[in-house]
Amino acid sequence: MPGSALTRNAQVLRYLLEVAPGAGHTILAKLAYLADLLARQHLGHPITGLDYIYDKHGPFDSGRFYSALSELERGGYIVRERADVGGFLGYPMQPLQRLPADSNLTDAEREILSWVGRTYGSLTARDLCERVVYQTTPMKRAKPGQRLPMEDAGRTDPLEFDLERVLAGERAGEEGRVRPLTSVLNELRARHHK
Amino acid sequence: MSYALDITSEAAERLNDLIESLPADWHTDVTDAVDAALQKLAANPLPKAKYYYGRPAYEFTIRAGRLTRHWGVTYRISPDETHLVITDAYKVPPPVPPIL
Repeated sequence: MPGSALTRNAQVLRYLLEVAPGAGHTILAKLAYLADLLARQHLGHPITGLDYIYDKHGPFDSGRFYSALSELERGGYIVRERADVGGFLGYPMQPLQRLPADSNLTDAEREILSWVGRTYGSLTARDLCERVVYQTTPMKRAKPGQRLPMEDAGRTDPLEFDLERVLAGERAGEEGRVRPLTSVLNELRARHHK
Repeated sequence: MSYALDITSEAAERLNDLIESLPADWHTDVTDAVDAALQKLAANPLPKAKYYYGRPAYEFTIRAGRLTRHWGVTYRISPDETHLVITDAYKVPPPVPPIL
């Protein structure tokens, strides 16, 4: 995979902010976690290089997360504001400059990030944590302070749902590489009768 | 009226892989069971649709003898609403994470 001017973690956070502008630290970190969880299941690998622990507010890799945010701020990709969020100091972030053209996020990774941002980005931090994040398998299996067993949630069988395969199928459809199902099934029957 | 069922070359390979993942004795019965399940989909595609990243999918249970498998297909309906194109075939994965 070719390199990019931005680290992969920074690219992911910037992409999520495109879909969920105004997200604060807690929400953005949880969106990245959910995207990684889905990617493990539906692509067979995570999207970020974050290594989550069960932190005070749920899954978090503070070192890599803040490092990626600093990278984005320094590069002019986001602006971090200060705001009163329900009596607490919050840091809603807004996207500025677009991701560079050399971003190495794949189409399938972008699909997952977009879906996660659209589906969960409008929840409050509390709802996102309590109704979604804390219900996921790695959070249920870990104890506070422990590393989350993300690999336990990964795909175990290559024949399970694979978003890359779905996208490949869609491209085949657009290119006309399509046949009547009946003829394909008849071929399979003939092959299996041998 | 049923949609005409088509399948992409990629999805056909995956369907073949699914069937061949089972013991050879069951291949013909399973192929017939898949055919029957997909004909049901073609007759009435949307009410039972599940969605993956905005894409409709149809998940069904295959029974052949003592074998039970949960498989699914993703699909698209042609713009003129005459064809249903299967874009992938897969084993149903466990649900993650909660969908609100």
